[in-house]
Amino acid sequence: MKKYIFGILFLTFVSTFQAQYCNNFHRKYCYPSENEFFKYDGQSRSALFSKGQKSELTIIVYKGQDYRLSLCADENLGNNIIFKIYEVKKVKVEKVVEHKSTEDEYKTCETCNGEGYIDGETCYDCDGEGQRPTGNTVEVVTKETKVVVEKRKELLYDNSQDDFAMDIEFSATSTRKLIIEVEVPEEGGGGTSKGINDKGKGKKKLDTSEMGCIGVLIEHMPTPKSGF
Amino acid sequence: MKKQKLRALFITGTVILFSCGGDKTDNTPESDTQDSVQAEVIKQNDEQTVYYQIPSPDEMFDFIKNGGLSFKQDLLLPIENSEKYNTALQQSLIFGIYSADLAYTAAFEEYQTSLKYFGTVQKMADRLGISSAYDASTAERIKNNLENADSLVKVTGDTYFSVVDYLEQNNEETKLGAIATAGWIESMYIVLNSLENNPNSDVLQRIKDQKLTFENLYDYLQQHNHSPQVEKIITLVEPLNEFFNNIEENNDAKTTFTKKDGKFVLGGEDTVAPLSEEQTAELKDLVNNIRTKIIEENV
Repeated sequence: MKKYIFGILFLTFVSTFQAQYCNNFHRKYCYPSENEFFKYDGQSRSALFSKGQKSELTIIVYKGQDYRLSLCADENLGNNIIFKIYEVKKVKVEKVVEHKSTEDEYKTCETCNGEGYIDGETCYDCDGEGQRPTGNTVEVVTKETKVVVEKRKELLYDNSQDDFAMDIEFSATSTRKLIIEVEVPEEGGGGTSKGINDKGKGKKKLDTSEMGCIGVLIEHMPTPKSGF
Repeated sequence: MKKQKLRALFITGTVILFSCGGDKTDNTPESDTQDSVQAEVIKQNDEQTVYYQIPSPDEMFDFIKNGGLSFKQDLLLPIENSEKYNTALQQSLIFGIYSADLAYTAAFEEYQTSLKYFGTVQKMADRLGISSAYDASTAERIKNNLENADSLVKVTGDTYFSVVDYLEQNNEETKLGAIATAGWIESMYIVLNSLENNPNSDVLQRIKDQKLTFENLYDYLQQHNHSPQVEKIITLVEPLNEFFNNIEENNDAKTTFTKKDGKFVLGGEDTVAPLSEEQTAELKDLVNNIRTKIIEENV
Protein backbone atom coordinates (compact mmCIF):
# COMPACT_ATOMS: atom_id res chain seq x y z
CA MET A 1 0.00 0.00 0.00
CA LYS A 2 2.83 2.34 0.96
CA LYS A 3 4.47 1.58 -2.40
CA TYR A 4 1.32 2.62 -4.27
CA ILE A 5 1.02 5.85 -2.31
CA PHE A 6 4.70 6.56 -2.95
CA GLY A 7 4.18 5.81 -6.65
CA ILE A 8 1.20 8.15 -6.92
CA LEU A 9 2.98 10.91 -5.02
CA PHE A 10 6.06 10.43 -7.17
CA LEU A 11 4.15 10.63 -10.45
CA THR A 12 2.30 13.70 -9.19
CA PHE A 13 5.65 15.29 -8.36
CA VAL A 14 7.13 14.39 -11.75
CA SER A 15 4.01 15.65 -13.52
CA THR A 16 4.07 18.96 -11.66
CA PHE A 17 7.83 19.31 -12.15
CA GLN A 18 7.78 18.70 -15.88
CA ALA A 19 4.70 20.86 -16.30
CA GLN A 20 6.11 23.82 -14.48
CA TYR A 21 9.76 23.53 -15.37
CA CYS A 22 9.36 24.72 -18.94
CA ASN A 23 6.49 27.09 -18.12
CA ASN A 24 7.15 30.40 -19.91
CA PHE A 25 10.72 29.29 -20.67
CA HIS A 26 10.72 31.16 -23.99
CA ARG A 27 9.58 34.37 -22.29
CA LYS A 28 12.16 34.11 -19.55
CA TYR A 29 15.18 32.91 -21.51
CA CYS A 30 14.90 33.73 -25.23
CA TYR A 31 16.38 37.00 -26.41
CA PRO A 32 13.63 39.32 -27.69
CA SER A 33 14.39 41.59 -30.63
CA GLU A 34 15.93 44.94 -29.89
CA ASN A 35 13.54 46.41 -32.45
CA GLU A 36 10.72 47.81 -30.32
CA PHE A 37 8.16 47.36 -33.11
CA PHE A 38 8.33 43.59 -32.82
CA LYS A 39 5.50 42.23 -30.69
CA TYR A 40 5.24 38.92 -28.89
CA ASP A 41 3.39 36.33 -30.99
CA GLY A 42 1.01 33.95 -29.21
CA GLN A 43 2.27 31.02 -31.28
CA SER A 44 5.49 30.93 -29.22
CA ARG A 45 6.01 27.81 -27.13
CA SER A 46 8.34 25.92 -24.81
CA ALA A 47 8.69 22.19 -24.24
CA LEU A 48 10.80 19.64 -22.45
CA PHE A 49 13.26 17.79 -24.72
CA SER A 50 15.49 14.79 -24.28
CA LYS A 51 18.68 14.31 -26.31
CA GLY A 52 17.95 12.86 -29.73
CA GLN A 53 14.37 14.14 -29.66
CA LYS A 54 12.70 16.04 -32.47
CA SER A 55 9.51 18.13 -32.23
CA GLU A 56 7.44 20.23 -34.58
CA LEU A 57 5.53 23.45 -34.12
CA THR A 58 2.97 24.24 -36.82
CA ILE A 59 2.37 27.98 -37.13
CA ILE A 60 0.68 30.45 -39.48
CA VAL A 61 2.52 33.47 -40.85
CA TYR A 62 0.49 36.23 -42.49
CA LYS A 63 1.18 38.27 -45.58
CA GLY A 64 2.48 41.77 -44.82
CA GLN A 65 4.13 40.85 -41.53
CA ASP A 66 7.77 40.52 -40.52
CA TYR A 67 8.58 37.61 -38.23
CA ARG A 68 11.45 36.86 -35.93
CA LEU A 69 12.01 33.35 -34.59
CA SER A 70 14.52 32.77 -31.82
CA LEU A 71 15.42 29.67 -29.85
CA CYS A 72 16.78 29.26 -26.36
CA ALA A 73 17.69 26.08 -24.55
CA ASP A 74 18.95 24.65 -21.30
CA GLU A 75 22.75 24.49 -21.26
CA ASN A 76 22.98 20.72 -20.97
CA LEU A 77 21.32 20.22 -24.36
CA GLY A 78 24.48 21.50 -26.00
CA ASN A 79 25.45 23.93 -28.74
CA ASN A 80 24.23 22.36 -31.92
CA ILE A 81 20.47 22.49 -31.69
CA ILE A 82 19.05 22.12 -35.16
CA PHE A 83 16.03 24.04 -36.29
CA LYS A 84 14.48 23.88 -39.70
CA ILE A 85 11.62 25.76 -41.31
CA TYR A 86 9.34 23.86 -43.66
CA GLU A 87 6.34 24.93 -45.66
CA VAL A 88 3.31 22.65 -45.45
CA LYS A 89 2.10 21.91 -48.97
CA LYS A 90 -0.94 20.01 -50.09
CA VAL A 91 -0.42 17.88 -53.13
CA LYS A 92 -3.14 16.07 -55.03
CA VAL A 93 -2.03 12.55 -55.88
CA GLU A 94 -3.80 9.68 -57.58
CA LYS A 95 -3.91 6.54 -55.49
CA VAL A 96 -5.13 3.13 -56.54
CA VAL A 97 -7.25 1.61 -53.82
CA GLU A 98 -7.87 -2.16 -53.93
CA HIS A 99 -11.11 -3.59 -52.53
CA LYS A 100 -11.20 -7.34 -51.85
CA SER A 101 -14.43 -9.29 -51.43
CA THR A 102 -15.58 -12.90 -51.50
CA GLU A 103 -18.31 -13.88 -53.93
CA ASP A 104 -20.05 -17.08 -55.01
CA GLU A 105 -18.49 -18.69 -58.04
CA TYR A 106 -20.76 -19.09 -61.05
CA LYS A 107 -20.48 -21.04 -64.24
CA THR A 108 -21.95 -19.70 -67.43
CA CYS A 109 -24.58 -21.51 -69.46
CA GLU A 110 -21.93 -22.83 -71.77
CA THR A 111 -20.58 -24.83 -68.82
CA CYS A 112 -23.94 -26.36 -67.86
CA ASN A 113 -22.80 -29.63 -69.31
CA GLY A 114 -26.17 -30.56 -70.58
CA GLU A 115 -28.03 -29.81 -67.32
CA GLY A 116 -30.76 -27.39 -68.19
CA TYR A 117 -31.53 -25.81 -71.54
CA ILE A 118 -30.85 -22.58 -73.23
CA ASP A 119 -33.62 -20.42 -74.68
CA GLY A 120 -31.86 -17.72 -76.56
CA GLU A 121 -29.63 -15.96 -74.00
CA THR A 122 -31.36 -17.45 -70.93
CA CYS A 123 -30.19 -20.66 -69.29
CA TYR A 124 -33.25 -21.63 -67.25
CA ASP A 125 -31.95 -24.43 -65.10
CA CYS A 126 -28.81 -22.51 -64.33
CA ASP A 127 -30.31 -20.55 -61.40
CA GLY A 128 -30.70 -17.13 -62.88
CA GLU A 129 -29.89 -15.25 -65.99
CA GLY A 130 -27.43 -17.46 -67.73
CA GLN A 131 -25.36 -18.45 -64.69
CA ARG A 132 -25.23 -21.39 -62.32
CA PRO A 133 -23.61 -21.39 -58.83
CA THR A 134 -20.87 -23.95 -58.39
CA GLY A 135 -21.03 -23.95 -54.56
CA ASN A 136 -17.50 -22.55 -54.36
CA THR A 137 -16.43 -19.00 -53.44
CA VAL A 138 -13.81 -16.84 -55.10
CA GLU A 139 -11.89 -13.73 -54.00
CA VAL A 140 -12.67 -10.74 -56.21
CA VAL A 141 -10.30 -7.75 -56.32
CA THR A 142 -11.64 -4.44 -57.64
CA LYS A 143 -9.37 -1.44 -58.16
CA GLU A 144 -10.45 2.18 -57.77
CA THR A 145 -8.39 5.24 -58.60
CA LYS A 146 -8.93 8.07 -56.10
CA VAL A 147 -7.49 11.58 -55.97
CA VAL A 148 -6.34 12.25 -52.42
CA VAL A 149 -4.73 15.32 -50.88
CA GLU A 150 -1.43 14.51 -49.26
CA LYS A 151 0.36 16.91 -46.93
CA ARG A 152 4.04 17.38 -47.63
CA LYS A 153 6.66 19.50 -46.02
CA GLU A 154 9.19 21.35 -48.12
CA LEU A 155 12.39 22.61 -46.57
CA LEU A 156 12.86 26.37 -46.64
CA TYR A 157 15.61 26.91 -44.08
CA ASP A 158 18.07 24.78 -42.09
CA ASN A 159 20.15 26.48 -39.40
CA SER A 160 22.84 23.78 -39.65
CA GLN A 161 23.64 25.38 -43.03
CA ASP A 162 23.77 28.79 -41.35
CA ASP A 163 26.34 28.22 -38.59
CA PHE A 164 23.66 26.94 -36.19
CA ALA A 165 22.10 30.39 -35.93
CA MET A 166 19.53 30.51 -33.13
CA ASP A 167 17.40 33.28 -34.58
CA ILE A 168 16.11 34.34 -37.96
CA GLU A 169 14.06 37.26 -39.31
CA PHE A 170 11.98 37.23 -42.44
CA SER A 171 9.28 39.22 -44.24
CA ALA A 172 6.20 37.25 -45.32
CA THR A 173 4.87 38.46 -48.66
CA SER A 174 2.29 35.66 -48.69
CA THR A 175 0.39 33.79 -45.99
CA ARG A 176 1.75 30.34 -45.28
CA LYS A 177 1.49 27.45 -42.86
CA LEU A 178 4.99 26.64 -41.62
CA ILE A 179 6.51 23.88 -39.55
CA ILE A 180 9.30 24.79 -37.16
CA GLU A 181 11.18 21.57 -36.51
CA VAL A 182 13.54 21.51 -33.53
CA GLU A 183 15.99 18.66 -32.97
CA VAL A 184 18.41 18.04 -30.12
CA PRO A 185 21.35 15.94 -31.33
CA GLU A 186 21.91 12.63 -29.56
CA GLU A 187 25.28 13.80 -28.27
CA GLY A 188 24.85 17.53 -27.83
CA GLY A 189 27.94 18.08 -25.71
CA GLY A 190 28.24 20.66 -22.99
CA GLY A 191 28.61 24.38 -23.14
CA THR A 192 26.21 27.24 -23.47
CA SER A 193 23.70 27.13 -26.28
CA LYS A 194 23.68 29.98 -28.73
CA GLY A 195 20.76 32.31 -28.26
CA ILE A 196 21.14 32.25 -24.51
CA ASN A 197 21.96 35.52 -22.90
CA ASP A 198 24.95 35.19 -20.60
CA LYS A 199 24.11 38.35 -18.67
CA GLY A 200 21.13 37.14 -16.72
CA LYS A 201 18.99 35.08 -18.96
CA GLY A 202 19.85 31.47 -19.69
CA LYS A 203 21.49 30.73 -16.36
CA LYS A 204 19.09 27.90 -15.59
CA LYS A 205 20.57 24.44 -15.42
CA LEU A 206 18.74 21.12 -15.21
CA ASP A 207 20.08 18.43 -12.94
CA THR A 208 19.36 15.57 -15.31
CA SER A 209 21.97 15.67 -18.08
CA GLU A 210 19.76 14.15 -20.75
CA MET A 211 16.80 16.51 -20.62
CA GLY A 212 16.12 20.21 -20.77
CA CYS A 213 13.74 22.92 -21.94
CA ILE A 214 13.72 24.54 -25.36
CA GLY A 215 11.81 27.72 -26.05
CA VAL A 216 10.77 29.06 -29.44
CA LEU A 217 10.03 32.78 -29.21
CA ILE A 218 8.06 34.18 -32.15
CA GLU A 219 7.67 37.92 -32.68
CA HIS A 220 5.91 39.83 -35.44
CA MET A 221 5.35 43.35 -36.73
CA PRO A 222 3.91 44.90 -39.89
CA THR A 223 6.52 44.89 -42.65
CA PRO A 224 7.99 48.40 -42.77
CA LYS A 225 7.17 50.19 -46.01
CA SER A 226 10.25 51.34 -47.87
CA GLY A 227 10.60 54.21 -50.32
CA PHE A 228 8.25 57.17 -50.83
CA MET B 1 22.24 2.70 -5.90
CA LYS B 2 18.89 3.91 -4.60
CA LYS B 3 19.64 7.35 -6.00
CA GLN B 4 20.42 5.89 -9.43
CA LYS B 5 17.14 3.97 -9.44
CA LEU B 6 15.22 7.06 -8.43
CA ARG B 7 16.86 9.12 -11.17
CA ALA B 8 16.13 6.46 -13.80
CA LEU B 9 12.50 6.30 -12.65
CA PHE B 10 12.28 10.09 -12.71
CA ILE B 11 13.50 10.31 -16.31
CA THR B 12 11.26 7.46 -17.42
CA GLY B 13 8.25 9.05 -15.73
CA THR B 14 9.01 12.42 -17.25
CA VAL B 15 9.42 11.01 -20.76
CA ILE B 16 6.10 9.16 -20.45
CA LEU B 17 4.36 12.31 -19.30
CA PHE B 18 5.96 14.47 -21.95
CA SER B 19 4.87 12.11 -24.68
CA CYS B 20 1.24 13.02 -23.88
CA GLY B 21 1.88 16.59 -25.02
CA GLY B 22 1.19 16.25 -28.70
CA ASP B 23 0.73 14.04 -31.69
CA LYS B 24 3.44 11.89 -33.18
CA THR B 25 4.51 11.90 -36.77
CA ASP B 26 7.23 10.46 -38.88
CA ASN B 27 8.50 12.02 -42.04
CA THR B 28 9.36 9.50 -44.64
CA PRO B 29 11.48 10.98 -47.40
CA GLU B 30 9.91 10.70 -50.81
CA SER B 31 11.14 11.84 -54.18
CA ASP B 32 9.66 15.08 -55.40
CA THR B 33 9.04 16.41 -58.84
CA GLN B 34 9.97 20.01 -58.08
CA ASP B 35 13.42 21.43 -58.69
CA SER B 36 15.89 21.44 -55.83
CA VAL B 37 13.23 21.43 -53.14
CA GLN B 38 13.49 18.80 -50.46
CA ALA B 39 10.05 17.40 -49.76
CA GLU B 40 8.80 14.90 -47.25
CA VAL B 41 5.37 13.39 -46.95
CA ILE B 42 3.86 13.95 -43.51
CA LYS B 43 2.74 10.61 -42.11
CA GLN B 44 1.56 9.45 -38.72
CA ASN B 45 4.09 7.48 -36.68
CA ASP B 46 5.68 7.34 -33.25
CA GLU B 47 8.78 9.40 -33.91
CA GLN B 48 8.13 12.99 -32.96
CA THR B 49 5.84 15.41 -31.21
CA VAL B 50 3.72 17.91 -33.15
CA TYR B 51 2.17 21.05 -31.70
CA TYR B 52 -0.44 23.12 -33.54
CA GLN B 53 -0.34 26.79 -32.56
CA ILE B 54 -3.25 29.22 -32.95
CA PRO B 55 -2.64 32.96 -33.39
CA SER B 56 -4.21 34.85 -30.48
CA PRO B 57 -7.23 37.18 -30.87
CA ASP B 58 -5.23 40.36 -30.21
CA GLU B 59 -3.30 39.88 -33.47
CA MET B 60 -6.53 39.96 -35.47
CA PHE B 61 -7.83 43.09 -33.71
CA ASP B 62 -4.53 44.90 -33.99
CA PHE B 63 -4.64 44.16 -37.70
CA ILE B 64 -8.28 45.17 -38.35
CA LYS B 65 -7.88 48.38 -36.40
CA ASN B 66 -5.15 49.34 -38.84
CA GLY B 67 -7.49 48.16 -41.63
CA GLY B 68 -9.98 50.91 -40.80
CA LEU B 69 -12.76 48.96 -39.03
CA SER B 70 -14.46 50.81 -36.19
CA PHE B 71 -15.28 49.63 -32.65
CA LYS B 72 -18.81 48.28 -32.09
CA GLN B 73 -19.78 47.98 -28.44
CA ASP B 74 -22.92 45.97 -29.22
CA LEU B 75 -20.85 43.04 -30.54
CA LEU B 76 -19.40 42.34 -27.10
CA LEU B 77 -20.92 39.58 -24.97
CA PRO B 78 -22.40 41.41 -21.95
CA ILE B 79 -20.44 40.73 -18.78
CA GLU B 80 -23.68 39.90 -16.92
CA ASN B 81 -23.75 36.58 -18.83
CA SER B 82 -20.65 35.32 -17.07
CA GLU B 83 -22.50 33.88 -14.07
CA LYS B 84 -24.87 31.55 -15.90
CA TYR B 85 -22.49 28.87 -17.21
CA ASN B 86 -22.02 25.79 -15.06
CA THR B 87 -20.03 23.09 -16.81
CA ALA B 88 -16.26 23.29 -17.30
CA LEU B 89 -16.72 23.11 -21.07
CA GLN B 90 -19.21 26.00 -21.15
CA GLN B 91 -17.05 28.07 -18.82
CA SER B 92 -13.94 27.44 -20.94
CA LEU B 93 -15.77 28.44 -24.11
CA ILE B 94 -17.15 31.61 -22.51
CA PHE B 95 -13.70 32.37 -21.09
CA GLY B 96 -12.41 32.26 -24.69
CA ILE B 97 -15.16 34.66 -25.82
CA TYR B 98 -14.50 37.15 -23.01
CA SER B 99 -10.74 36.94 -23.62
CA ALA B 100 -11.31 37.91 -27.26
CA ASP B 101 -13.67 40.72 -26.17
CA LEU B 102 -11.01 41.97 -23.76
CA ALA B 103 -8.42 41.97 -26.58
CA TYR B 104 -10.92 43.84 -28.81
CA THR B 105 -11.60 46.58 -26.23
CA ALA B 106 -7.88 46.95 -25.52
CA ALA B 107 -6.94 47.18 -29.20
CA PHE B 108 -9.51 49.96 -29.69
CA GLU B 109 -8.41 51.75 -26.51
CA GLU B 110 -11.77 51.37 -24.75
CA TYR B 111 -10.07 51.67 -21.39
CA GLN B 112 -12.97 51.52 -18.93
CA THR B 113 -14.62 48.64 -20.82
CA SER B 114 -11.27 46.81 -20.86
CA LEU B 115 -11.07 47.06 -17.09
CA LYS B 116 -14.59 45.60 -16.71
CA TYR B 117 -13.85 42.74 -19.08
CA PHE B 118 -10.54 42.05 -17.37
CA GLY B 119 -12.41 41.69 -14.07
CA THR B 120 -14.83 39.23 -15.69
CA VAL B 121 -12.03 37.21 -17.29
CA GLN B 122 -10.23 37.05 -13.95
CA LYS B 123 -13.37 35.82 -12.15
CA MET B 124 -13.91 33.15 -14.78
CA ALA B 125 -10.27 32.07 -14.47
CA ASP B 126 -10.91 31.53 -10.75
CA ARG B 127 -13.90 29.35 -11.50
CA LEU B 128 -11.90 27.35 -14.04
CA GLY B 129 -9.06 26.84 -11.58
CA ILE B 130 -6.50 28.58 -13.79
CA SER B 131 -6.10 31.84 -11.89
CA SER B 132 -2.57 30.83 -10.87
CA ALA B 133 -1.63 31.52 -14.48
CA TYR B 134 -2.11 35.21 -13.70
CA ASP B 135 0.50 37.42 -12.26
CA ALA B 136 -0.93 38.95 -9.07
CA SER B 137 0.14 42.39 -10.23
CA THR B 138 -1.68 42.18 -13.57
CA ALA B 139 -4.81 44.08 -12.47
CA GLU B 140 -2.58 46.79 -11.03
CA ARG B 141 -0.61 46.97 -14.30
CA ILE B 142 -3.85 47.39 -16.24
CA LYS B 143 -5.03 50.22 -13.98
CA ASN B 144 -1.65 51.89 -14.28
CA ASN B 145 -1.70 51.62 -18.06
CA LEU B 146 -5.21 52.90 -18.68
CA GLU B 147 -3.92 55.91 -20.57
CA ASN B 148 -1.35 54.05 -22.61
CA ALA B 149 -2.87 52.07 -25.49
CA ASP B 150 0.23 50.06 -26.34
CA SER B 151 0.83 49.02 -22.75
CA LEU B 152 -2.83 48.09 -22.27
CA VAL B 153 -2.72 45.82 -25.32
CA LYS B 154 0.52 44.31 -24.05
CA VAL B 155 -0.77 43.65 -20.54
CA THR B 156 -4.07 42.11 -21.71
CA GLY B 157 -2.16 40.06 -24.29
CA ASP B 158 0.27 38.87 -21.62
CA THR B 159 -2.58 37.58 -19.46
CA TYR B 160 -3.98 35.54 -22.37
CA PHE B 161 -0.55 34.13 -23.24
CA SER B 162 0.06 33.20 -19.60
CA VAL B 163 -3.17 31.22 -19.55
CA VAL B 164 -2.34 29.47 -22.84
CA ASP B 165 1.17 28.62 -21.65
CA TYR B 166 -0.12 27.38 -18.29
CA LEU B 167 -2.67 25.10 -20.00
CA GLU B 168 -0.10 23.84 -22.53
CA GLN B 169 2.42 23.00 -19.82
CA ASN B 170 -0.20 21.31 -17.66
CA ASN B 171 -1.62 19.21 -20.52
CA GLU B 172 -5.08 20.78 -20.14
CA GLU B 173 -5.91 20.22 -23.80
CA THR B 174 -9.68 20.26 -23.37
CA LYS B 175 -9.74 23.67 -21.73
CA LEU B 176 -7.15 25.03 -24.16
CA GLY B 177 -9.07 23.65 -27.16
CA ALA B 178 -12.29 25.27 -25.91
CA ILE B 179 -10.64 28.63 -25.14
CA ALA B 180 -8.73 28.77 -28.45
CA THR B 181 -11.83 27.77 -30.45
CA ALA B 182 -14.16 30.24 -28.76
CA GLY B 183 -11.52 32.99 -28.92
CA TRP B 184 -11.11 32.44 -32.64
CA ILE B 185 -14.90 32.30 -33.21
CA GLU B 186 -15.40 35.56 -31.28
CA SER B 187 -12.67 37.37 -33.21
CA MET B 188 -14.18 36.16 -36.51
CA TYR B 189 -17.66 37.16 -35.28
CA ILE B 190 -16.47 40.68 -34.48
CA VAL B 191 -14.58 41.11 -37.76
CA LEU B 192 -17.30 39.66 -40.02
CA ASN B 193 -19.99 41.75 -38.31
CA SER B 194 -17.91 44.92 -38.54
CA LEU B 195 -17.43 44.79 -42.31
CA GLU B 196 -18.93 47.84 -44.02
CA ASN B 197 -19.52 48.27 -47.74
CA ASN B 198 -16.33 48.05 -49.80
CA PRO B 199 -14.18 46.62 -47.04
CA ASN B 200 -10.44 47.08 -47.10
CA SER B 201 -8.77 44.45 -49.30
CA ASP B 202 -6.18 43.67 -46.58
CA VAL B 203 -8.98 42.81 -44.15
CA LEU B 204 -10.62 40.52 -46.75
CA GLN B 205 -7.23 38.90 -47.33
CA ARG B 206 -6.84 38.27 -43.60
CA ILE B 207 -10.35 36.75 -43.45
CA LYS B 208 -9.70 34.29 -46.29
CA ASP B 209 -6.33 33.37 -44.78
CA GLN B 210 -8.24 32.15 -41.73
CA LYS B 211 -8.71 28.94 -43.72
CA LEU B 212 -5.12 28.04 -42.74
CA THR B 213 -5.60 29.19 -39.14
CA PHE B 214 -8.78 27.15 -38.85
CA GLU B 215 -6.97 24.10 -40.24
CA ASN B 216 -4.43 24.39 -37.42
CA LEU B 217 -7.21 24.75 -34.86
CA TYR B 218 -9.07 21.77 -36.33
CA ASP B 219 -5.89 19.64 -36.41
CA TYR B 220 -5.29 20.52 -32.75
CA LEU B 221 -8.82 19.43 -31.84
CA GLN B 222 -8.48 16.21 -33.85
CA GLN B 223 -5.21 15.50 -32.05
CA HIS B 224 -7.10 15.52 -28.74
CA ASN B 225 -10.37 13.96 -29.85
CA HIS B 226 -10.12 11.22 -27.23
CA SER B 227 -11.80 13.69 -24.85
CA PRO B 228 -15.63 13.70 -25.12
CA GLN B 229 -15.62 17.49 -24.58
CA VAL B 230 -13.21 17.98 -27.48
CA GLU B 231 -15.49 15.74 -29.58
CA LYS B 232 -18.31 18.18 -28.80
CA ILE B 233 -16.18 21.12 -29.92
CA ILE B 234 -15.32 19.30 -33.15
CA THR B 235 -19.03 18.72 -33.81
CA LEU B 236 -19.66 22.40 -33.10
CA VAL B 237 -17.13 23.62 -35.69
CA GLU B 238 -17.71 20.86 -38.26
CA PRO B 239 -19.80 23.15 -40.55
CA LEU B 240 -16.81 25.50 -40.74
CA ASN B 241 -14.54 22.60 -41.62
CA GLU B 242 -16.84 21.72 -44.51
CA PHE B 243 -17.00 25.37 -45.59
CA PHE B 244 -13.22 25.82 -45.65
CA ASN B 245 -12.69 22.46 -47.35
CA ASN B 246 -14.74 23.81 -50.25
CA ILE B 247 -12.65 26.97 -50.58
CA GLU B 248 -10.35 26.58 -53.53
CA GLU B 249 -6.67 26.27 -52.83
CA ASN B 250 -3.82 26.72 -55.27
CA ASN B 251 -1.65 23.73 -54.45
CA ASP B 252 0.75 24.56 -57.28
CA ALA B 253 1.73 27.93 -55.82
CA LYS B 254 5.51 28.05 -55.53
CA THR B 255 7.12 29.33 -52.36
CA THR B 256 10.46 31.08 -52.22
CA PHE B 257 12.66 31.80 -49.22
CA THR B 258 15.51 33.99 -50.32
CA LYS B 259 17.87 36.42 -48.69
CA LYS B 260 17.77 40.03 -49.89
CA ASP B 261 19.89 42.77 -48.35
CA GLY B 262 20.65 40.59 -45.34
CA LYS B 263 17.01 39.70 -44.69
CA PHE B 264 15.02 36.63 -45.67
CA VAL B 265 11.83 37.04 -47.68
CA LEU B 266 9.12 34.39 -47.74
CA GLY B 267 7.41 34.85 -51.08
CA GLY B 268 5.08 33.23 -53.54
CA GLU B 269 1.55 33.38 -54.87
CA ASP B 270 -1.50 33.23 -52.60
CA THR B 271 -2.53 29.67 -51.87
CA VAL B 272 -6.11 30.42 -50.78
CA ALA B 273 -8.52 31.79 -53.40
CA PRO B 274 -10.36 35.06 -52.58
CA LEU B 275 -13.81 34.62 -51.03
CA SER B 276 -16.78 35.77 -53.09
CA GLU B 277 -19.41 38.03 -51.47
CA GLU B 278 -21.69 35.00 -51.13
CA GLN B 279 -18.94 32.96 -49.47
CA THR B 280 -18.17 35.79 -47.05
CA ALA B 281 -21.88 36.01 -46.17
CA GLU B 282 -22.04 32.23 -45.69
CA LEU B 283 -18.98 32.29 -43.45
CA LYS B 284 -20.57 35.08 -41.39
CA ASP B 285 -23.76 33.02 -40.94
CA LEU B 286 -21.82 29.94 -39.88
CA VAL B 287 -19.72 31.87 -37.36
CA ASN B 288 -22.81 33.69 -35.98
CA ASN B 289 -24.65 30.36 -35.55
CA ILE B 290 -21.74 28.75 -33.71
CA ARG B 291 -21.36 31.76 -31.41
CA THR B 292 -25.11 31.65 -30.67
CA LYS B 293 -24.81 27.96 -29.77
CA ILE B 294 -21.95 28.72 -27.38
CA ILE B 295 -23.66 31.58 -25.56
CA GLU B 296 -27.01 29.76 -25.41
CA GLU B 297 -25.29 26.77 -23.76
CA ASN B 298 -26.20 24.61 -26.72
CA VAL B 299 -22.91 22.72 -27.05
